Parts: sequence; structure tokens; C-alpha cells
Amino acid sequence: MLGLVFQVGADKVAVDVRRIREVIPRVRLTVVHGAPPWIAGVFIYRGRVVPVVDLHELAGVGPCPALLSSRIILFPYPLDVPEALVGLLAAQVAEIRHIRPGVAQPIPGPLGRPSLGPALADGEGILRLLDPDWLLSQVAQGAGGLIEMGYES
Amino acid sequence: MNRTTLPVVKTDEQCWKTIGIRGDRSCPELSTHIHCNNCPVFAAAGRRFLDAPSPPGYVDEWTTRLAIPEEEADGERVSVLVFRLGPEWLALPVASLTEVTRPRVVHRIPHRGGILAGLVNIRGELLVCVRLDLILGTAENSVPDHDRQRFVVIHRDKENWVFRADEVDQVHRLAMPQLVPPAPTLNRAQAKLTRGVFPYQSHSVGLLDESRLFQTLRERLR
Repeated sequence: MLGLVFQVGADKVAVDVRRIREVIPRVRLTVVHGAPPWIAGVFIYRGRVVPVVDLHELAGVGPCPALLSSRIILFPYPLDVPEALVGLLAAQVAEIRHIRPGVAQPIPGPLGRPSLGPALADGEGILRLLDPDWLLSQVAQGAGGLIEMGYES
Repeated sequence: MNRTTLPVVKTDEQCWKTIGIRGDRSCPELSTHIHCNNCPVFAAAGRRFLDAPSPPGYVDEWTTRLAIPEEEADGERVSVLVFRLGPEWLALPVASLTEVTRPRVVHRIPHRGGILAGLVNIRGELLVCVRLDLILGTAENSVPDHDRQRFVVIHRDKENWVFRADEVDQVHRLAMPQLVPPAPTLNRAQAKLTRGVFPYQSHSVGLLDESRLFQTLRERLR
């Protein structure tokens, strides 16, 4: 599997490139008041409003660092709504490489929040395999109707 | 535009300059990676350049740029490389393009001249260099600017040809409906090889018909 590898806190996370729509630089996000802390905000992407989830906040390691290497990964979500997108903000989004799928060990996330995915041994380190659809469906439940804003506009 | 300095990898951590390919080459990893460019340590150091704060205006510029709706695709689009021969701006579809290189030495072939400029070494392969300006009959540029000259390598099936362009602009996404028939005042050789003309920046660019061009090259250099 060809995976996009990025960093969330101390964790290295990989996601299957076939699920990704686009990787874009960090943009100025409009804060959504009353939303859970892991909703970084919304922004306008090619004429539609797209919510962005901060993976650092979701993993409970503070906000994503404001660096050039922090980028937004856009995923089509929900899949049954055409053109709907959700962004995931992560750090060190700079590497695409082949990932040998192996035996993955489930690791729970912070209390009451979705985990970043099961872990597998990757060279000398540990790599988390993120399933964007599963993660976003979990986040959507926690954030009420927020994700729907992505496609109703 | 404002520029901020990027964090540079510390000198004592730049192993490629001490034990690597630019140093004494004593690094044990060199036997597996051959060149520092292939080494994960070098790649990781390169990625650290991006761990810098965004330059001023960067986030705002991207916010505005990404907010613009995508332009509606009007008809078929073709990527073409725009280049200049003398005073004439021309274009070739990128599908027939192999590479663009800096000028190299052209080895003349004795007793041959005209449209055959000679042989050029491109990555260890000897390719035939042709005078596209003579084939098309474009006017000679009085003062060639050697800094801007480029060699363009084109291919079709297994044939490769090289020609010298006086300037290479960039790859342009051409909307096919923009293409209009060439002016009847164009000289015959060029009119035969031109598929059409399209506006680009402040000049009009002739899109070359690559299949006719290759056919002409084959016939005239037999």
C-alpha cells in the first residue's frame, strides 16, 4: 500500500493515498463557536465550506504546530454525498512511501475519543494506520451536525 | 515579497559534507545507498526545511487561492510546451516531449550540414540534433541569448530528436477551442507543420503538428 505518512504529536500516522483527495497548505480557518476543540474550523475550498479536524487536538496533544510542514489532507466524506469534503490537519505531511501491511495492534485513543488507528511495526518505529472513513464517522457523531455543513452549503 | 530564513541543518549534522559524498566518503552507509541523495538521513534532513513558520502572507494567499471555485472546463485541454525559435513562439504537445536540457556541445557530422546540426550527447546517448528553425523557415534571431537557450528532446515511438530552442517558457494547459487556424501569410513549410495558433500572454503561439513534424524529420534526414 502506498501511504501518506505524517506526524500527530509523537505518533507517526499513515493513510492510504487512494482515499485522499488532495493535500493543501494550512489556510486561515474560521472558528466554529461551541464546536469541540478538535474542530479547527471551517474554510472555503473552491466555493464550498469544508470543516477541518485538528488531529493533534483529537489525540489530546495540544494544537497542531503552525509550521510550513503542517498541512490539511482533504478526504471525500461522507462518501454518499458528491463533492463533500472534510480536512484533517496534521504535522510533517511530507512523505509518501510504500507501507507493508502487517499484523496491526489496536490501540485505544484518549478517553471518549476515537483512536488514530491500529499500530504496526514499521522499520524501527511504530506506525499508526488511519482509516479516514472510520475516524470521520466517529468524529461526526461527537461533533453533532457540524460535518454536515460540509455539503449543505 | 518578504522572505524568512529557513532553519538550516546544523553544520556538524551535515554528515553528507563530512563523511558523505561531498566529504571523505568514509560513511559505511555509502556502500548500500551509493549516493547521499538516496540515504534516509539526507531525506530526513531535507524534510526539516519545512519545519519553519509560514512566511508572512503565505496562509492568507492560500486561503484566497483555494477559495476560488474551479474554472469550468471548456472542451478538451492539452498540455503543450511553449518555446521560442528566433522571433517565433511555438508549442509542442508534452506527450512527444522527453526532456529540456541546458545547451550541450553539438558534434558536427563531416560533409553534412543544413538541417542536420550534428550529434548531441544526452545522458550518454548520442541523438541527432536538427535545426528546427531551418525546417520551419523561421527568421534567424540576430542576437542569440545563450543563457536562455535550451535543448529540447522529443520522441515518437523509438525515435529521438533534439533541437535547440532560443528560449523555453513553460508547459501551458491549452483549451482546444482556443486554437484557431494559422494565418494564410505563414510560409508554406511552417503552415504545413502548424496545427493552429493560440493566444498566450502577449503573443500568439503556433502549435506544431507533431505527427507531421516527425514525418518531415524522417523524410528529410534519411
